Amino acid sequence: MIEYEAVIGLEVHVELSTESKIFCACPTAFGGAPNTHVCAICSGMPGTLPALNREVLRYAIRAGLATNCEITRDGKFDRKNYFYPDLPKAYQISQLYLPVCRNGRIEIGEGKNKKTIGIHEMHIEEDAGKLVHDPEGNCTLVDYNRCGIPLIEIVSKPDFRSADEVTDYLERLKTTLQYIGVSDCKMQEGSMRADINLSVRPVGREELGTRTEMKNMASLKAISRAIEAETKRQISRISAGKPIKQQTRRWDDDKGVSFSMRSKEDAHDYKYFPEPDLLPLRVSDGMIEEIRREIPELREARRARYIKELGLPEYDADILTSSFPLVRIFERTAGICGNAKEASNWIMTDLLKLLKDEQVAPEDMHFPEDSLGKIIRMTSEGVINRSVGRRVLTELFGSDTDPITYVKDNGLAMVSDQSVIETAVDRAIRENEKAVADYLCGNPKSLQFLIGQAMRHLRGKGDPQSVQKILFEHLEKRR
Amino acid sequence: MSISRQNVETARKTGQEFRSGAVPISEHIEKTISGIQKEEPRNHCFVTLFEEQAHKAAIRVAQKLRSKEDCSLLAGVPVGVDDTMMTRGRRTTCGSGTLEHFIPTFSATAVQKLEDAGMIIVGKLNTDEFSMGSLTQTSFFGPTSHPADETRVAGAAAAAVASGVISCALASDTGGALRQASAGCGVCGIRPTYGAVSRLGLAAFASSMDQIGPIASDIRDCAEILNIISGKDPCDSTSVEIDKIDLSRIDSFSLSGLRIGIPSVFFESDTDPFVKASFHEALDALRSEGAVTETFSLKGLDQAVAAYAVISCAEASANLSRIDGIKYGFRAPEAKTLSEVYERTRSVGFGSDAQKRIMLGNYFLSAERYEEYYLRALRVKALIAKGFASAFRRYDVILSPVSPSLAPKKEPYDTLSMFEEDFFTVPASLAGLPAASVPCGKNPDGLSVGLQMIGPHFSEAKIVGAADAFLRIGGGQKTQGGQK
Ligand SMILES: [Zn+2]
Repeated sequence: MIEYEAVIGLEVHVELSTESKIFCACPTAFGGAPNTHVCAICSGMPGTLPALNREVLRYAIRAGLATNCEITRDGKFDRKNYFYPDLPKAYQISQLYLPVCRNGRIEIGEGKNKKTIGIHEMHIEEDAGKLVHDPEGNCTLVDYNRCGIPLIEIVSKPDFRSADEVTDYLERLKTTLQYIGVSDCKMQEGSMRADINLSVRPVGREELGTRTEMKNMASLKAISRAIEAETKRQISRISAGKPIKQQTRRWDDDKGVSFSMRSKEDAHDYKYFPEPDLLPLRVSDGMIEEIRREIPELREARRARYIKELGLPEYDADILTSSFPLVRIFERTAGICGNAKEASNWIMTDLLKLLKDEQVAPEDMHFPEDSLGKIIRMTSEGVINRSVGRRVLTELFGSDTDPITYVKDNGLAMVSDQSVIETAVDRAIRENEKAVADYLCGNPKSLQFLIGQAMRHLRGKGDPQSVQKILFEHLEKRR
Repeated sequence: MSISRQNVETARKTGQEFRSGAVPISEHIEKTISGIQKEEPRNHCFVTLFEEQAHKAAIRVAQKLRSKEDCSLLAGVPVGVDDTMMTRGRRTTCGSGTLEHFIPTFSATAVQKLEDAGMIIVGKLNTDEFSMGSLTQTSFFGPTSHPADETRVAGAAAAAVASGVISCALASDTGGALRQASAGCGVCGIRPTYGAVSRLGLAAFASSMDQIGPIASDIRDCAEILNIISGKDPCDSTSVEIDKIDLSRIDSFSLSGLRIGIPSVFFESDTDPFVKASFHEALDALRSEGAVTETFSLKGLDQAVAAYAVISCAEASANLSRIDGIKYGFRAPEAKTLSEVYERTRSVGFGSDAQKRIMLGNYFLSAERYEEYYLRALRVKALIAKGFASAFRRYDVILSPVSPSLAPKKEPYDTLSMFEEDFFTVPASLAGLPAASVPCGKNPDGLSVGLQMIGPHFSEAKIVGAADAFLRIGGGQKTQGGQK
């Protein structure tokens, strides 16, 4: 039986997180009521002209440098022409002939599975709007808010052979881009999406098979499933002697199958030509060096530092550096509570569990960056005890409420008033004669039980040390 | 009817009368508008009149002048603006049925600068559909009549100035529209260096060649307006800063020793005899003042029209794609599916000339033809630009007629022969050079011809100087004549 392998290439679109759009001053913020982040330029009014936001070029170069690309010194923009209602000018300003970056690479895999994935090129372009179906009017409406959000398209070489390699690459690409602050890479919000080119060939053959393309994939799981299904589909067709048609397919993740959208014959002729409204891009050595200096410590270096300088366990350092949102929240939390290990512990045990339970990716987390630090500080300062701290974290996760205010407003601060604790201890002793007797007979477990009872009367807010001390004194008096 | 040049007050003189208080602005604006309205049924120069807004502006500007606020020399002067330029809150049709009721949300930078200088926009001038043409033949609103002959066509900005209803106007020039319109009506016009005037707010026809420039009965008025509208605009990446023209130095401009080059192919072309004779007479007049003329060969000129046709159609095809019936403007009411919206809107909305150019542009840019047409046209463009650059090491200005023929009749035209009319004007467009058209003769029927003066990049001051000196020696005042 012939053994086949998949040959996969990726085109990844990433929205850059510049403040304003690529050719106008509109904000890039996600969401907003339809057509509120829109001006004459990004809605394609007659007479408007694009003016390049220079930050976009800097971001793209930063992305290129972080993925080992060569930076093009004389780039330019081209028009890609096609009609669609989400594209108000009916052409997209992109780069065909002289993309901003070329010939980069990203390492994937570990140990002996290490492998280099080549980056063919990276080019700058503008995003299009979104079509929204209006069930009430039974018509389609257009929202131009996303029009003109800067994108980089990162085109890999066809170096992947499996879905695992693809997801590994995407994870690393995402981490790198988040680290260097050029994109939040939120797949859920569409700020990172991938087109998959896939063909199969008998193992050992040089020449490539006919490829199909699946566009706009926006979740790692779907990408993985789509690759596996498409590989199987192509192999079974070839095995059955049927040809593979060069076509664009749409992956339906719910049904787990892909459908043909259009074939090569009706592929677009985009009629590219140089954009006459924009000047060529000139990138100097000085500019490249300046941008190189802005690139922050990347994952490997940061991981090593966490282990060596902060004394974190390797496993913890590995997890914490796996995504930049975690790095940010870790460093912020450690900064506020003044204890890196404690910050790491809370994130590793409590925060990650919450993320997992709620099925939220770290970059999609909605939680003020200083909240966790404040909670930990309150526990170490004895304002609340640890279990109340956990409760506060769980209750506030996903909200903007300030933990200090929350603790105050809900009366969660620890009770350290002697007389209040004594009342609770008295009650615990009075209501649990048997446990008291057991304790006095030498059963230490009973002490824990009685502490629990006293804490219950204090509604969990008692300072554990005071409670234990007072209980102990009261019990000893009975001897 | 036609008013000879001397009877029209210059914009500068009108501005002076406002500043001295001799004439109230409001009164002048009212007279201007009623003058336009009176001539309009015959001339058909204006698509929209801004009567109410102009009156309000007149009061505002008069107030400014009274309070001695810093105003330009042309404050209060009425001006017409080609309808391809956006005027905020005021109808801008681009001469197209697709934008018959379009109201833009912003003003073109050049328009804004005129208004900031206190000039008063009285209305929008008829234009070829999205500037595709020179003499309003492709306008959705029908052609403008030639001031001397109602059966012939004219560029509206030039016709309005020539008929005396306004003293100055802004027009656009891609392949030569502004220059040909000026020549045909016997007035002055300047196409500035590419980038000297911001294109923001000018509906794009061929972005790499579109420029806005002034038309006036007086070349110095043109210079004054150019000084107002020129300069770098952060919203137009291709715009540049240029030196203002020092009008006080124009009087001292001497034609003596002026080195004039004439591309030899310009003599060999199929040109109307009267145009030819007027051109030779103009050269004689210049030589008699001490100018030195010489013919030279400029490579690529024979292919200039073809290169221009390819580049302009290619760019136009993309620029006009946004007129799709989705966001604004006309949408075919019967269209049901998305492709019907596109197809019907565009095939009903656009005139036949625009449709032809769009289809040609798509053909030139198609993957199989791109190299054969578009890239070749770019090479011709580069060749011509290089030829001009080396010629300007030897010559101060390069001269030619403006249009190979006299104003055409109002009759069906065809797109290809319209391109041939651009023979003398497209070379400067392709090379991004400044070029002026000044009157240099009028035939017994009152049809005018122009002399084109092309200079190196940013040589507007020199062109204005030479043009003004030429007009001072009476170069542009000949009627009859032609026969030597
Ligand atoms: Zn915008």
